[in-house]
Amino acid sequence: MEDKDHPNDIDGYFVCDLRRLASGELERDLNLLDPKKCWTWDPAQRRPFPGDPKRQLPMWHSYHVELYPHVGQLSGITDKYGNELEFPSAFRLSRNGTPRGIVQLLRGSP
Amino acid sequence: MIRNETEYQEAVRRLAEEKERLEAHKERLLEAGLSSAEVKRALDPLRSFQAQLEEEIDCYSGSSAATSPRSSTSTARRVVGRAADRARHHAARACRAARCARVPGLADERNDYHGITVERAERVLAALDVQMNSSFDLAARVPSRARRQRRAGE
Repeated sequence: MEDKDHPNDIDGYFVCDLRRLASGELERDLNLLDPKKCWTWDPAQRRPFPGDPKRQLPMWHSYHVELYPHVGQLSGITDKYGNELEFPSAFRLSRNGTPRGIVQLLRGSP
Repeated sequence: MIRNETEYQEAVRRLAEEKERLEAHKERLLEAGLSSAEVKRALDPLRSFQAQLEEEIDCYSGSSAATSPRSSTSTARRVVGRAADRARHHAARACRAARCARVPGLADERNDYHGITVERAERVLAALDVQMNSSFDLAARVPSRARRQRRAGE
């Protein structure tokens, strides 16, 4: 979470098994739950939004969220020492390197 | 968004490194026995994440990956796009100056004016009682290739 003038969306990650992501099972299960069937991370499905130079995934157009599966891969974002971070660490840093709060969602017992 | 040259250079360096890492990651997944379709799905999130950085770089550098400099239409788009970026840049500078001057009515403003909207710039500049004019000149028309060849032959 950041104190911004115009918060644009909700960014997040969730822990996931690599095989589940790679097999397509994850997308399939999410789309079975979602009436908008917007769950994909395929770059080819990213679409422009008026006034925004960045294209966005269908989930952003539907719900203004960007949720990434974390399967142990590096994010490409580095800390101030140049060490590359995985999503869980990368999402806890703001662009200028200061710590950023996150909200952790836990599944309750049924 | 990329807000200055330092961030731009950092983003360019990061993107180059990310592309290398993505290729290495792809090799590892193939070696682990994943099919090409599975590798694609496994890498899609990172590719989408990376594409954002690429577009931020394109936006800052004033060129768009979606337009080709070969067509006159896209060249015109780039000219207009750069003029708009410049106008926004001037508006952002004026807004930062306003904040530095601690102008009453702008106490809630934060120093994040990159890509500022026209509406917000108007509100801030109105509080300053400033009227901003932005203009740009079109360079002399570039002669067509045929005309250049004719001239060369004269």
